[in-house]
Amino acid sequence: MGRMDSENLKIAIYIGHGASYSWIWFVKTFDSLDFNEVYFLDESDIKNGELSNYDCLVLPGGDPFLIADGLLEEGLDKIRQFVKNGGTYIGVCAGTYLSIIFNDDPMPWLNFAEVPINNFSERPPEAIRMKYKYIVPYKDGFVFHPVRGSLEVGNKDMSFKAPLYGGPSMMAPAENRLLDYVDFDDKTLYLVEEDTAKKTMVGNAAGIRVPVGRGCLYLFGPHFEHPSYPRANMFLYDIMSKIKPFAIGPAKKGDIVLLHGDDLGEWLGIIKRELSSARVLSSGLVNLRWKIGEKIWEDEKIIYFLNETWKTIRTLQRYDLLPIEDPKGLETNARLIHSLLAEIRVLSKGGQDTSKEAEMLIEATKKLSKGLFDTYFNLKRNNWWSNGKIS
Amino acid sequence: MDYMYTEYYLVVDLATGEAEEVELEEKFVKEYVGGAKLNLALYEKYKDEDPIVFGSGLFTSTMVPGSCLGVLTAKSPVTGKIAHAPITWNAGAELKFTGYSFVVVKNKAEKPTYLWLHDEIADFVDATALWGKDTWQTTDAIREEQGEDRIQLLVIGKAGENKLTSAQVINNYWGDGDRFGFGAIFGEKNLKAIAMRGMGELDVDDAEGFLEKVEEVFKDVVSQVGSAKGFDAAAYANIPAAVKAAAAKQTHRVEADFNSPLAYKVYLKYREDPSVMAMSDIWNPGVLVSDPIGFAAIGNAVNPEAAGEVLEAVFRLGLNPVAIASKIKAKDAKGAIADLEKLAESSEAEKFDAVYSPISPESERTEAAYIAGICPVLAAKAEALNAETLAELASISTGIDFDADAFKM
Repeated sequence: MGRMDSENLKIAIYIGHGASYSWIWFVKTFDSLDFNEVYFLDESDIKNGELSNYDCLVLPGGDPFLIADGLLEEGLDKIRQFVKNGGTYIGVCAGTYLSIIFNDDPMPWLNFAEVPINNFSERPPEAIRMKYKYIVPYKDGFVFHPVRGSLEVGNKDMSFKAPLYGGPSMMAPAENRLLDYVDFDDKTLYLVEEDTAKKTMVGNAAGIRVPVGRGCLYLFGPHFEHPSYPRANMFLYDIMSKIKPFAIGPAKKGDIVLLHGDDLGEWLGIIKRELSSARVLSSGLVNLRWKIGEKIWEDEKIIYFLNETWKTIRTLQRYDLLPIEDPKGLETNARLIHSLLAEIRVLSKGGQDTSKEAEMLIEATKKLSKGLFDTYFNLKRNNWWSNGKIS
Repeated sequence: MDYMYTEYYLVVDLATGEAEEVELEEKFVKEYVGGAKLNLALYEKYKDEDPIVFGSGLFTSTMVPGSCLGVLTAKSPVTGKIAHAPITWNAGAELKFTGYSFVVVKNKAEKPTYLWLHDEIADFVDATALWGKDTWQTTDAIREEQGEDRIQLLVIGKAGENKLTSAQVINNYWGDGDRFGFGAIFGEKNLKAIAMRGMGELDVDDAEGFLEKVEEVFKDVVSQVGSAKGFDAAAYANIPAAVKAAAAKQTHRVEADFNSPLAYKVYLKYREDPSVMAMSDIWNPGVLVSDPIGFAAIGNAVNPEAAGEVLEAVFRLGLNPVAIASKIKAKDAKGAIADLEKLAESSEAEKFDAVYSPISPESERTEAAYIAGICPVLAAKAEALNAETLAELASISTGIDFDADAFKM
């Protein structure tokens, strides 16, 4: 790696209010690329000034309206200062929209730089499918999503496939461009007529680099972090290798409890039981969909979340000692996830709206998975164990 | 065991409410392979604690055609000998998905209990409120309680609760391969049901080689099975012509077991027009003829057009249709169902002669199927599912050298 190796780069992933489940993709991909210093921040951490202890901040997919609502001007300004002072900001999809100005009358978001987008219009083209997640109202117009799924991106040196789930088609100057939308492929899902989609997307920027003060922004439309796209992951790795060190202090640490022996077995048993019950319940949900903020959540996203959390538990249970922050809190969250899913099942069977419960469920699932990933990366970083045993 | 099975099997003590995970060692699999053969070894290991074993075969829940089979093994209250009952449909596969390829259930619970296996978790759930309910009510209640309609159950009705040797363990709502009175063992143990749901995954040693061989076998199996379906695919059951003719008017669809190309199960509708394919508000508008031999026995005992409805009552009460068919006096559905309700509480039902499996392991192929976890009905029709081929598949998928003799009891 260039200036920093993957073991030392301190990465903060925003998982607070408004972040969708796609941050899990970053976790999996960073893990597979051997990044060890991976941490998770929410809006409170950012407002409390934690950012200066990291080299880069990842703003993943989600709902930029909700993210901004959570961060408030206080948190948004902390991010602005972080970048101006030399930090690196990596935005994907919502994280990109949040950081750019693409309207004469922009929302009071990060607004680092003017980057017009070609998928904003007062009169968007008519959708041919998935109308429920085709457009998002923004001021006097709409951000619309012409395609979803796999497409081809590239520049004069390379091209590869990456998935797009609502990211922008950016009309950026050549000096900022890293990758353009090159073409669609046989897995691209058209939400508008193909010609219209091409006119909206192809030739515009899919990834840009924007210097801001002493730091910089890397802004992406597609999800280069998606674990099923290894070539896109390598592009991301290359970007990460260019990040300049910035962190000035130790990463945030909570009160860690070391669990082992019967205590650990009992704790893991509780988490597994609740999570397993939650997985059973979630697999029994039938085509549920919630609108939370401006984002549409399908039940399959909950299932994905829970399955990835389950895999983490299975990894952790190989160890005979675990450093865990707030194990009781994680237990409570696991129970809450189970009970909320049971409630959603009953309410949805009766035809009732379950958006409120779903919102709580997403937050609880985030907290549980964050706690388990924290433990996992703590183990990985400190290398306290070898072969699953205390060394 | 690294491949094809889960890491552990489960030993459940109903008396203490404790469940122990025991490592499923490779040498154990090498010696006993799986299904009925490995079940028997587990039975012997725990025989002093009155066990009943539910186990999967090496290929259960995999891509091998017909890989649906689970096997119940215990000492039959009917014969006094060890017996193996084939459990088809989805229960065997679901067992493996729970993270336990085998479960040994020992001793007796103090009060009615059901065992809830899910993702490497074994819960003992109070079933007092379910005791006295029929198998359909119990299946619905447990699925509702645990929140999933795809939970697979082995469940007993009144006959099992009354410990009758004519009792049968029912597979969700439908009768299956228990002709050995295992329903009575469940009743004796105060075990109302074993409920299973899991999202486990299996590893394969040579995944590409396995897939290649499976594709080859699948093509052979499909060509050997031919196009017969429904009762035509279950000719072994000798269903009387008049019963078949009556059933034809009620036939809604045919169904196959987990990952099987042989659709020999017939769903009859008698509570709504069988030609209606859309889901209606009627929950379970008919019966799945999951046991063609049992259906033939009932069809011989009552009016042909009543056979489906009477079979439903047999399944609800958790009775063995072959054992009780000759004791049904009435010919009409209402009268026959009233007879059955009495039989489910009467020792009269315990006296019967006919004891045979609906899928008799007469041939080498069906014997191998009981060990491999393959539907014996399919194996009986498909020469490609012979012991030599299964041994080859077993070697590819596990990295252990198996020969055809491994698939013999």
